[in-house]
Amino acid sequence: MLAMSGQPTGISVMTCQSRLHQPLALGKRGFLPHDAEVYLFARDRRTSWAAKAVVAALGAALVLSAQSVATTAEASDRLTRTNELLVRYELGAPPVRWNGLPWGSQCVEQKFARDLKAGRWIGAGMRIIRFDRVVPVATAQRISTQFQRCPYVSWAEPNDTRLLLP
Amino acid sequence: MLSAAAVALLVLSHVASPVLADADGSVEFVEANLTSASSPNVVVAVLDTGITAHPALGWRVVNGRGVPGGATLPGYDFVSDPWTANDGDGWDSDPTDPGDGVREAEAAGRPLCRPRISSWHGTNVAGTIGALKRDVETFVGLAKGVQILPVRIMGRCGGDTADVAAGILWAVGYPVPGVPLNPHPARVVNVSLSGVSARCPRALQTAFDVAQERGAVVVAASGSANANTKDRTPANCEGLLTVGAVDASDRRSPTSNFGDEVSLSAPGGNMSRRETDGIYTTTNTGRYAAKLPSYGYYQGSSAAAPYVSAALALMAAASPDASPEELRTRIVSPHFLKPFKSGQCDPGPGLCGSGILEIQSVISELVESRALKLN
Repeated sequence: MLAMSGQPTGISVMTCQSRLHQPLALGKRGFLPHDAEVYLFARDRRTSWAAKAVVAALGAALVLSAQSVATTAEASDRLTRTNELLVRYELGAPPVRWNGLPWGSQCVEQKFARDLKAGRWIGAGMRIIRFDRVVPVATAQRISTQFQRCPYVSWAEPNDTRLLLP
Repeated sequence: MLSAAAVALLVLSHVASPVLADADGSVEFVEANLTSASSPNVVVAVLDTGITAHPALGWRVVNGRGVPGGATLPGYDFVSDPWTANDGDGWDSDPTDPGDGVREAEAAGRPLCRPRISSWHGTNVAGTIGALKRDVETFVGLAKGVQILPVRIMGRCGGDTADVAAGILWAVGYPVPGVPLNPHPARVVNVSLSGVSARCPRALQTAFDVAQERGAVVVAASGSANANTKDRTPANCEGLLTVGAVDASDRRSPTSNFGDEVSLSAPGGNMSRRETDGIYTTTNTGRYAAKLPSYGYYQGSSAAAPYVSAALALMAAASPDASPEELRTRIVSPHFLKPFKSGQCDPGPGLCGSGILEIQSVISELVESRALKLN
């Protein structure tokens, strides 16, 4: 059974018997490349047992991997990557450092600090700090922890929550 | 059994006001014609998808720009990402909702983004709170006479925490850099939205704290994923009222989130069997872009939260000096709540809040105390 629930990703599985062309619930992090098409042909009854076994094994593996990824996708209604921190500064914090990097970046390990950019103020001393690339939330959390060790930084956290209509 | 909203009809039936009732008694909302004796200018901020042109709300769109009027005040658009905003830019002074519908091809590759037609969610919520009577419709908002402040913080595929925080600050009259100060600070802030997070983002909590310091009470939807609110935000933030939804039988709506964070429940409908079991309100006929103003049904904690916001607005109108804590404490008092009967809150006792808000109790008390008058 290859019909899966979930979001279409353009990945399809076809067999010669039924020519199923149903989307699998494979997320961006699935085992199959996005928009790939996998064709499993069991041509006719003369197909060797070995070939059939290979096809069956491949099919089973596909189903299992698809189920596994589908579960992950359904369970993760939250962002796993982000390119922003939200930071709150205390009164008196310099807006930026002498080198143009955001205040607090001096407390962050060098390989990340140079990629930080001060973004929009959102009020009450809160400001967006941007990375020049998207990073895993765990990395953003590590940078946040380093960031908030700096003086004048009240708190810092990854901007990793997307709000949706209920 | 009548829903809490339906009972409001009975309480107010002595008032010579037109009402709209279905044959089975599933009245949505009634013409209460409430005016405040003391403060008619209570502002309720609706932080949502924005607002569409609608005669019952008074919002118009002229030459492509939103124009306030009627029940609505000038608002602001805090959706920073132009694609999400769907209006060609980031933050701007026009909170008109251009539609949050997403076609399948547009959703591909965007995190947490699913194809859908436009919700007109902000127009729905605004109508529940403050819609005005039109000749062709007897429907009005529960707190007709309050002023709606449309603050747009949601667009295609949701909204960003930083934008929501900025929108809350602005709504309560707090300075937001680069944005003109809001001259109409809100006493009540309605946030019918939900995200997955085991903790309240500190940016949101900071904004809620500021709102409370400035005298505003914040009302949040519990969310509609049939999940525990400990993992949903802003339901799990401190210092606000989190509202769950019940259907016409006072049962928890099947999708309404539940948990220790839920303060109370309110009518939110349940359209799983039929559309008319939802909450009737203002909407728009457009599938993606806005077309014609209309009326229709929505459901869930999104609809329950504005029910509570409307009640709070009436209480705030009657008690201009009441603090947010006082308003929050009063509205969850047994005097205004109907207790859940066995099985009505199926996840377990206490997980749907202290009870079901009966807005007619609020209205009755305010009228009896002459704090509000019916006209």
